[in-house]
Amino acid sequence: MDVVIAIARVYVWIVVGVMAIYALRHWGFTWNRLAMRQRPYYQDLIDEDLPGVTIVVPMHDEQTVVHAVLDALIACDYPRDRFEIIPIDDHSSDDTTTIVGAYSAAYPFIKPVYAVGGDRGKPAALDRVLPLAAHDIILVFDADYRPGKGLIRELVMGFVDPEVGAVMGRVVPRNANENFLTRMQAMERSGGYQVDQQARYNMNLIPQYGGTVGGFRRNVAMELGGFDPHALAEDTDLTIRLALAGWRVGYANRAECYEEAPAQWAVRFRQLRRWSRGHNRALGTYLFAMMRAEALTWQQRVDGVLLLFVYLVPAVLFTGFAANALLFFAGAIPVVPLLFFSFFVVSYSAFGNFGPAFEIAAAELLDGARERLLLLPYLFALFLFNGWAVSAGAMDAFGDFLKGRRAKWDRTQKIGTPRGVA
Amino acid sequence: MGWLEILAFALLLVLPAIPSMFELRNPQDDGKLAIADGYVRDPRFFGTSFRRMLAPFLQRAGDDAKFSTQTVWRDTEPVRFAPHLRVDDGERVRGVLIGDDVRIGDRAGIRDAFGRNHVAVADGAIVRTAASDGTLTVGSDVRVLRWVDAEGDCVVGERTVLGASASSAGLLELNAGVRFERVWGRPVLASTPNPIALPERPDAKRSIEESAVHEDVVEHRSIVFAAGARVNGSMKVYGDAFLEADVHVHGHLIAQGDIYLGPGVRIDGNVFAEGDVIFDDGAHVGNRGYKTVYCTGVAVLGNGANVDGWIVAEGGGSVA
Repeated sequence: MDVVIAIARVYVWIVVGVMAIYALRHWGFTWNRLAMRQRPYYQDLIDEDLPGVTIVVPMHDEQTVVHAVLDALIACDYPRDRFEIIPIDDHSSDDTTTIVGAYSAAYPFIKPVYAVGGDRGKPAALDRVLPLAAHDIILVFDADYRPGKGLIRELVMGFVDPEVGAVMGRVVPRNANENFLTRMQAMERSGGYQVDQQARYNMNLIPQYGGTVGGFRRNVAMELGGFDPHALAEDTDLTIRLALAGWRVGYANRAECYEEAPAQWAVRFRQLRRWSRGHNRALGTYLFAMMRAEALTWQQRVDGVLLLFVYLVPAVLFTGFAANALLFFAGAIPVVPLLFFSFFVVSYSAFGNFGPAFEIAAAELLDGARERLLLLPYLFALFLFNGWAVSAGAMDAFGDFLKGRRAKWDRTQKIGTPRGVA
Repeated sequence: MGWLEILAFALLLVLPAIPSMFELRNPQDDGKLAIADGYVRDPRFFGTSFRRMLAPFLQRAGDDAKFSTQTVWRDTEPVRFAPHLRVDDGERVRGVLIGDDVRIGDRAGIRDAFGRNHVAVADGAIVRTAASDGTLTVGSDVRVLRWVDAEGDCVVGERTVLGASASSAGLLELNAGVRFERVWGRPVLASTPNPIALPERPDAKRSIEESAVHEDVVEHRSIVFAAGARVNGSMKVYGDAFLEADVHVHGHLIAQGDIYLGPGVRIDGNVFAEGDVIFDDGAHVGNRGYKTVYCTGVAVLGNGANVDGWIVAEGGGSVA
């Protein structure tokens, strides 16, 4: 029993240390966003000689949303001779194929790709389209997204920077008012983009390419080996591979785009679980390479390592709670030395999830929030839910590693809105 | 632990959630974050939207020789049309002035002026906005409170302050001492007898002496390009970029510090600085269509500095 208690004691200290590191990280980000100089993105550049761009929209059974995203892309302000849209109809069994075909007949710059065999899922779809794209810049939008008229130009301008291998815009839920879950997700999104991503961009760290409302250089993606069809977080995968190869991700906080946030708990749970599974797989694949990366500064390596671990943190925290409970019931809890660190732990974990409460509050203030700040205490409920889903995903990844099994892509279900409704 | 303590603990736990319940039951602030879906960056936005607002009056100006009416855009303001509209020296006029040719006298003060052929703002005047479908002449020591825009060429006299924006579909000539925030012209051309204050040559770790570099250049500190060097690619510099005379960059130039463009330097692409941008005499930006010079610091233009497109100086711009 003494050995178990000793191990639990050490583990609790490790968990406290990890929480303190993450709390400090997010304090740093929040402070940077509120009080430090902000780095501009390149959206203020206007250039008559725009590069060619291929816009890729992976879709599987998206008949409820396909009209909206294609209509929005058609309305975009970009020279038509330097612009193509590739909807990837990924094994759809509903009317998506027919709808995409009709658009393709009406607009010559819409060049659909129909995937009927082979692997299914977004990474496989992207990998399939890499050699087919006519242009070197590829932007990706999920089918439930609604890009604004000027968004393509704003994102593309990031590639004037010869170091930028990928760019990322800001995702904004358009159904924030649908229910409690979507309201809370809107707050999470705000924290993640308005503070977290922008601060990392400000600090020359590693902003994350998020796989949608963003894009990358086709040639670079191909040189890095394309997309693994069995990856579940191809965005994290690409972010890390770009960083390791010395490329940067440009973050455009003002290049905002609406998405449809999952409105059902079960759908959100599956989405988070998939993200976590894919992200933790990336952790296993790239951790040591990230720690040794010569193309990165030490600050970038630290940020990269913390980014890779982020979907493991809830599992670490929950097991830390369990170890603490064990110590408590064994009468061995080290209360006094823990007091100092408890402040960090509470700040980060009590109401935190992907962004701690103070970070989300700062983001919401920057976004001009008023009464919605009152909802911050409910982040605790979301933390438990997110932690559960993310921990389940971490366990899946661990299982994948042990059994050498390949994950299957699980599409996030979208409800959509009737055509013409904003 | 007694019941009282447990009750107090539970109350403290629930307390922060009580105001939240009101917001959940009766949402006051649950809207999506507003995104301007139709927004497209337009350096002549002010002029374009002003013309749209004026459209009904311009149509009437086609029918009537002269008229006065009112507009209720924000306040009720008089609208005056005359083919040859004059504001006398020192006169103060409210409202919107429309004419084929509009002349604002010395030290006059007006709000909005629009000319179908030409607008001339004389020395020392104060103008809220001025737009012309033809040419626009802004005298010396004029104060523009908001913006000016011209379909034709626009010449701005010495020491004039150009407000938030000055734009021209043709040449925009800025004379000595002009101050600005955002200027657009095809091209923007500085004309001044004054020399610029030469910035200090950075203590750069790297200096490009080669006659030609055939790739993109990324430098993690400051960099100096020796006179006459050519870069057949784009440049990204984490510190300052100091380009001596006649350097030619065929791509874009990006710096997280200051940028100095020496005499006769040519940049074909865009210029982006997270510091200041100093144009020495004859430095030129733009090739293959319009480009942008953007800086978070100040922009200073020397004689003959020439930008085909847009200059955005978040910290303010000026002509030497």
